[in-house]
Order: sequence, then structure tokens, then C-alpha cells
Amino acid sequence: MMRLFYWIGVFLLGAVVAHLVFVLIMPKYEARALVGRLHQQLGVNAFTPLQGPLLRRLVRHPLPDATYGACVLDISTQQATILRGPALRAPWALTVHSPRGDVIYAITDRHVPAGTIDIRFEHRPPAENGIIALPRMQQRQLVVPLTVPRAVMVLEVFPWHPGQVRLVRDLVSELQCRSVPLASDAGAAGAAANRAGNATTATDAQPRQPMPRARPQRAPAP
Amino acid sequence: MLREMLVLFIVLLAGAIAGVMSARWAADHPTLAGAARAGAWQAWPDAGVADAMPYARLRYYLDGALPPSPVDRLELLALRDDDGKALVSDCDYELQGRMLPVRSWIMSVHAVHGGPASALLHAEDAVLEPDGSVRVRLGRQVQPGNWLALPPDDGRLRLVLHLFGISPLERERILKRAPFSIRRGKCA
Repeated sequence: MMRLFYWIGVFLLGAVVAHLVFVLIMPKYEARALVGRLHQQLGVNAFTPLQGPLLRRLVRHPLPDATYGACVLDISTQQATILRGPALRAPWALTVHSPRGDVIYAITDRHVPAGTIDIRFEHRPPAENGIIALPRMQQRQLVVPLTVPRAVMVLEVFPWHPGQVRLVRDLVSELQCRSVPLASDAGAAGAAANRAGNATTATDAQPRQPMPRARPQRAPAP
Repeated sequence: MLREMLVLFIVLLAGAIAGVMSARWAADHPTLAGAARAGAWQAWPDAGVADAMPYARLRYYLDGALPPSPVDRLELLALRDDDGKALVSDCDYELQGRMLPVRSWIMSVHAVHGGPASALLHAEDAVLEPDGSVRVRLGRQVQPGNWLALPPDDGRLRLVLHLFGISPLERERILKRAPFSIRRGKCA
């Protein structure tokens, strides 16, 4: 009888250890493997529109009309990464994942000034007292301090209607993700000031996308 | 001695398999995985945050995807109708709901294991009922009003409602009240 309890105990021990390892460690391992694969396939600090199997690795329920892109941010060696491009004219969401898969920063088009996209990611480890730097606007550039030296940025753009899909894809293909020296704040601020003027022009310009289709009207009751 | 070691190895291996299977089962179980549930719909709104429930996070990684952003958007998932029967492609369904207090929404139909959508409906394209509600029909045959075509191959489905531009005040309310009822019609 004691022997039976012994084997049941061994079985339960194996089950509990495997359960905990699978639940607590597997997601982190999978996330690191995913980031490693992205690093190999996309390179670093390069914006790449996502399609096919790679898209399905990053987005659980991809939508055919939506446009997706990713950039592996490497801001470890005294450099920042800038995401810059035209206004996307559709709702968008940007999510930054740490190498462990956690969402460490997220923003949507409703949280930035209208006009061109200009976001600068910098590595700012937490201070000794644990305080972390907060995102700030510098001229018209959004500066986002990240506590990790490497991360994955995923951009999702959702056209308002099917007629806007092609325009959105063209605009997303114009986005650039590139590294710049961390010490070039003054130059970046000047360039941002110049872009601010351009952004105003772009906002005031006539929209290039076709307008939404008219909602079908019901016939009046006889 | 060798026989004892072999038995120990087999029992530990069987326990490990049971442990992994139970973890997968827990991740698929909405209550254990910490899902917010409203009618037939369920959501894991905080799976991406650092202190997320481990099972909620595991759920995404088992599908091989990163968890979505918790900011400003929500992904509601339905695998069953209001009577608890699995959604299948050889049945018709009728969804009835209201216009949601969000900036925009998209409803999409996927195979049960995820992947790209086979059909979708934008809020901009939804035809409203005279009382302002929204009725969506799912089926293989063309139907009047808002219609989402189901794939020709038999199999289970998942219905996803993507919500964009959610006010933090509305978020909890949306998670407590089912956005659409799901009723099964005739089956092939």
C-alpha cells in the first residue's frame, strides 16, 4: 500500500513541476524565441510590413483589410530609434513588446498630434530609486524612453472602410524605422521643428482617400 | 535497481504529460484563464501586461502570437452560441446587438484555431435596424442585411469582435454586457 502511495506521489510531483514549468516558463521562452526569429528575419531598426506566416506569429486574429508592420528596436549602444512617416489617415495602434513578450508601451492615433508620425525610442534604464522616465513631447516628436535595450514594435492600421485599404498600405510602406545617435537631440529638435511646419501643411491638405460609402437608406414606408 | 529507475522514469514522464495537458486545458478554460465573460463572448483584456494571469498569457503563446495591446482596444471572442453549442460552419446564426459606444468595430469569422479572417463586417458598412440595433446573419447562403459568409469546409469557428477607441469608462461596461446575442438557425 505504501508503495502505491509512493508512486502516486511521484506522479503528482512530475505533474505539478511540469504544469508550473509549462505555465510560467514556456511563455517567456516562446517570446524570446519569437523575438529572436524576428531579429533574424527583419534585422534591427528596419520597418517591415508584415504578411503571411510572420504576421500570424505576431497577431492572433489578423484582419484582411488591416495593414501590419514591425520593427525590432535595438537601442542598446548609445543610439535611439526613430519611427517616422506620413499621417496614416486611419486608426492605428502601436505596441512595443519587451523580449519577454510583455506590452511595455502602447499608443494609438488618438494620443498623438495629428500630422506626420514621429516617435523616438530611447533606452533609459530605471534610476537607482526605481523611478522610470516618462514619454514626453519634444517639439512635435514623441520621445519614448524604454527600460529595455531591445524590443519589438508592432504597428496595426485599420482602414475605416475597404476603399481605403490601398491608400493605407501605400502610406505604411513609406514609414521608416532607423537608428540615430542618442546625442543628436539638438539636431533632432531642429528637424522636428521643420517637420512641424510640414505636418501642418499635410493636415490642412485635402484628404487623398476616397470618402466612405453612403450608408444604405431604407425606403420610406408606404 | 535498473527496473526501479525505469519505472520511476515512466511514472515521472506520465506525470509530466499530465501536467502539460492540464496546463493546456486550464489555458483553454475561460474561468481558469481569467477571462472576462459576457454572454457567449469572452476576452482577455490584460493578457499583455507584466502582471497578467499566467494562463491568460499562455493562451496567446499556445496560438503562437504575442498578446494584444491593452490600450484603447478590445478583442472579444465567441466560440459558442448562447445555448453553449459550438459555432460550426454548416449552421446559420443570427446575431442581434446594439451599436457599441466605441470609435469603430469589426466583426470577423476565423477557423477555430485562429489565422486570417474568412469574412468580416466593418461598423461603417453595417446596416442598422429601424430601432438602431444591428442584426448580423452568418451562413453559407447569401442573406439580406448584414451577412457574413461562412467557409464551405465543415468545422468549428471562432467569431471575433474587434473594438477600437474604447473609453476607459466604457471598458468595464462593455466587458460586463454581451455586445451581441448569438442564436443558432437551421443546420445542413
